[in-house]
Amino acid sequence: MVGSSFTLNALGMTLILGMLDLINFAHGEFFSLGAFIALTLAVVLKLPYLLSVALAIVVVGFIGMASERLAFRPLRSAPRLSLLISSLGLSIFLQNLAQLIWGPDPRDFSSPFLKLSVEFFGFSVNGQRVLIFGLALGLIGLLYVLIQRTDVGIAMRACAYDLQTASLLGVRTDLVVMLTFMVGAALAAAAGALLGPVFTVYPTMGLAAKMKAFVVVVMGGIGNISGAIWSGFILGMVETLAAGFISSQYKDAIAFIVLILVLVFKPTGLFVRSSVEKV
Amino acid sequence: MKKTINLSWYIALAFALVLPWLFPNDYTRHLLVMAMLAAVTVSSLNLIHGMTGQLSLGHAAFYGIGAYTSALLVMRLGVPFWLAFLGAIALGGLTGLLVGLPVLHLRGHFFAVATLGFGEIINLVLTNSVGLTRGPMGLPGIPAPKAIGPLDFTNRVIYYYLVVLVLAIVVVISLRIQDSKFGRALLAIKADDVAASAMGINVFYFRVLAFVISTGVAGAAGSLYAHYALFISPITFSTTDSVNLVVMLLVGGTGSVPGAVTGAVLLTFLSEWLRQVREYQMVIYGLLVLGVIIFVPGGMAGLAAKWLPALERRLKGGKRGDVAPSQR
Amino acid sequence: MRGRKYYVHKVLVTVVAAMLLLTACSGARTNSGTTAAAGDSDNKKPLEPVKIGAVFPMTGGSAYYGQGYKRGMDLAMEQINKAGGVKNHPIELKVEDDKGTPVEGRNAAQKLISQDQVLGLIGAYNSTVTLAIKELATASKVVQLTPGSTTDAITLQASPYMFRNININSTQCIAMADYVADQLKLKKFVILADNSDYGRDGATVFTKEFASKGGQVLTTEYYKAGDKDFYALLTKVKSLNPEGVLISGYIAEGALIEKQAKELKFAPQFVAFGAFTTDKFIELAGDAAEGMVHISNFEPSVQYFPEAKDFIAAFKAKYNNEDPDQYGAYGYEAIQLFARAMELGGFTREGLKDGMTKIKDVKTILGNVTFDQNGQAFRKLLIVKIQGGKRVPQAAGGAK
Repeated sequence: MVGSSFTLNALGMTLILGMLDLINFAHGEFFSLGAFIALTLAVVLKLPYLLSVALAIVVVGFIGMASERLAFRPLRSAPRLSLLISSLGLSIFLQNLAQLIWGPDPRDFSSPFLKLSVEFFGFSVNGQRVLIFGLALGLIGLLYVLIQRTDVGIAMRACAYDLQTASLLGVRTDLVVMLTFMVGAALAAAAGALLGPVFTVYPTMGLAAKMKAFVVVVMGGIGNISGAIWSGFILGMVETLAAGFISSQYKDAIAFIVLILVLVFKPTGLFVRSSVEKV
Repeated sequence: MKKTINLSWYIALAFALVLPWLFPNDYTRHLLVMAMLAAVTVSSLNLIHGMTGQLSLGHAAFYGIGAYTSALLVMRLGVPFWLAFLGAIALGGLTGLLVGLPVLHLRGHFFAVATLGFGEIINLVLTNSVGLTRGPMGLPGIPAPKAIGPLDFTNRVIYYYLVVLVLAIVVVISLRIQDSKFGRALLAIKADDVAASAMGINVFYFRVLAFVISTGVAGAAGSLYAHYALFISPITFSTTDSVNLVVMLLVGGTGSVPGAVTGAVLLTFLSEWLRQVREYQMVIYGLLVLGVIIFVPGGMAGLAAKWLPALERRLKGGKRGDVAPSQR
Repeated sequence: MRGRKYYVHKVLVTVVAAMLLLTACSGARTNSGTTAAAGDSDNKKPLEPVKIGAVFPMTGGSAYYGQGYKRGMDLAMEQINKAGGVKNHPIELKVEDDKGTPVEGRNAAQKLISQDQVLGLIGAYNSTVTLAIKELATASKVVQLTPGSTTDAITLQASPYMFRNININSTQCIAMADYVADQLKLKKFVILADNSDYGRDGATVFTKEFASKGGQVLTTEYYKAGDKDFYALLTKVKSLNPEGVLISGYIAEGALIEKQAKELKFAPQFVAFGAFTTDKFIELAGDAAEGMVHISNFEPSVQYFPEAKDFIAAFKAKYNNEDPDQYGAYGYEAIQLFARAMELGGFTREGLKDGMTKIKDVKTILGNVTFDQNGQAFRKLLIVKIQGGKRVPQAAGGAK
């Protein structure tokens, strides 16, 4: 369960990282915006839960697109690190904007699926978690089809491989990058809107989420979609086991130790066959 | 021989020395101390990022190690501050060595992520070693350095001068490194590590050396912080703080020693100055960081490199004629 | 790579210019900012406002609490000023944001002390921030009163300038351990503690007191603020079969722990300390909160806090009919105490300090306040149980 949320969030990040070589620090904010917007739609406008989630995904997708246009496009030719700082600036801005709009207090976000209880081999799990798992798998599948089977996906992969060459080959790179941002932000928003009811919603909720996403992305191999999927689930399991059996105090440290070991022994990520480092 | 330290550095130093007297207000003086401390730390980050291109996202942890080492040596073992200060540098550098050895062969994002991981781990150790560090409760009652004759370090201005002295030493070291064989090797590595290694440069050795110096300097800054703030706790040395250091460096202009100092000073004062706008403080701060990086991608140093020659031409050399001629 | 030294020179000019500009900006208001209130004369001019500084988290993770204190302080200031001020001096409250971090807290306190020239400081909420400010306030000889930080060390390591009007952790943790052991007759506990000053302090004191009453803490597990999934931790804890679980932390994670425990059909007696005293917790945890027992430092109930009657009404009138919570109440009281101390000691920093030490049986909205020689007040506390979505007082403890 934890793994699927890590994965959704990380997928968006790895898409962007693969494309622009950008560690997007604003990714956690897309996550929390997704939760806040869905919450507002559901509570204030009284829309049904699933519709609110869908709308939040769309809205944050557009926010992602806009932020690419405003904060990252002008820096396309600048050093990579400028992009990183730009994303940090964006992250500070969006997080504090969220606090201005929605206030600093944690909020409860209820979903009809919370009340459902599903039995699995003697374990009881609430419906929301099942929904998250199902929808996460669905979205991952959808993304896979998008990237592997459609023209847009081919263009995206071409751009991730080499932006300049793709552009020479007639790919409209600006549009593709923008679309990538939209998809990336939308995935983060989906994670936020789906997890909102299980967890509480507050402006700094994206912080932990983006750190984890970052770890997952690197573990899986930068820009590697299936790698991110697997490492998302693996990290979720490692954390769960660490907290359950080793030491809750050092739970996060264990996740990072695993990360560092992966980096030291297999620096291209766990799930890459060739050893060409795309740096 | 090469004049590494030119006149403008002396002017800057003189200016730094009169600053506290221009603003005889404890708040501004406090911010000056904080700005100079940030300048030391950001300069240490510049030593690794500016010179080798490796981005450390865990630098605040080394700052923290320096702070805790120094504070604990003084409080638990009664070591004099100056010795503890050296101890902080040593332990900062040693941790840098231990962290650097396994991961410094990594490049780009991989190194960044690894240092982020180490930063988190070090922070967790500081938090969870309650017996030694008092953990998240923090370490109160750290003594200020003992007075030497008339130099009373509880006096903010005197402490400011101490930090400026350390900053000056760090700046001199940074500039010397830049102009040395070591520095040119680092720049070659930054430009292209494969080519550098083909030219016979021991890439890994130089990277480790640069990282150890960098973390040692961060340790020094941490020690100075601990004995100034008199209270430390692990949350001051978190990943958020590491990231903030990176922002300062990039806003100042990475790879440039004066850029690192400028970025640190500028952002320390900027974020405090924005207190006036209350809850909009961080929103505007975020926007300004975005603005700087979009419109001035090279940071302040890039800006200076772009604008000042033009300004200089307009002024026709004028008063500062002694520096320009030797340059192309 | 053209002309690096040349370029260094240019950059340095920018440094100097930038520093001048910024220091000028932040220093600009210094001189005009000094008011007669901070002077050492006895201040014969009536209606000269007295400045009080407050440092609380207004943004960041603990902003929710900071905003609560501000509401209480604003109300107190408004009421005192409407009634003509303190001996004709209106109060001017300057609130600065510490973002929940010691560095920002210290910057904020320094600004209030040196630039705004406040007479005294109220704050902070997070204990680490309070401790960081304490070093500065003591060195600057400025009174600091915290209505929110409960770690023992703040007033145990006494400073003549440090005061606290809320109970220390030991008081509330011991009260809780005693109640659990004596009244609820529970013997086996597990502690889930926030890995922070507050969480660790609480866990340590509770464990000690509970053991002395014959109880047993099976294990203490730590989580981090911001953690969201407690399934693994709860599954582990459930296997130990404790009778009760102490959540030594804050409401955001507390609510998640109880909700997820309910999903896992794990139903021990949950108990917690004072940080849970807010309706927000019940809103977040929903029916999972039912039956929980925790410490409350304040309830908007005339039965237990008869002196708070007018305060509750005024608070409701000002803030959309919302009931005041512990944060608003203690913030309000902090202003009341400063006002009284200035009446007793005068309108200087030293006067305020003397006034604070003279506070004996001063009547406030929360009962009587007396500071001991460490600047610590011993307060009333309640043990409440959540029943039907409301906190229902079960027992009273602390000061009478």
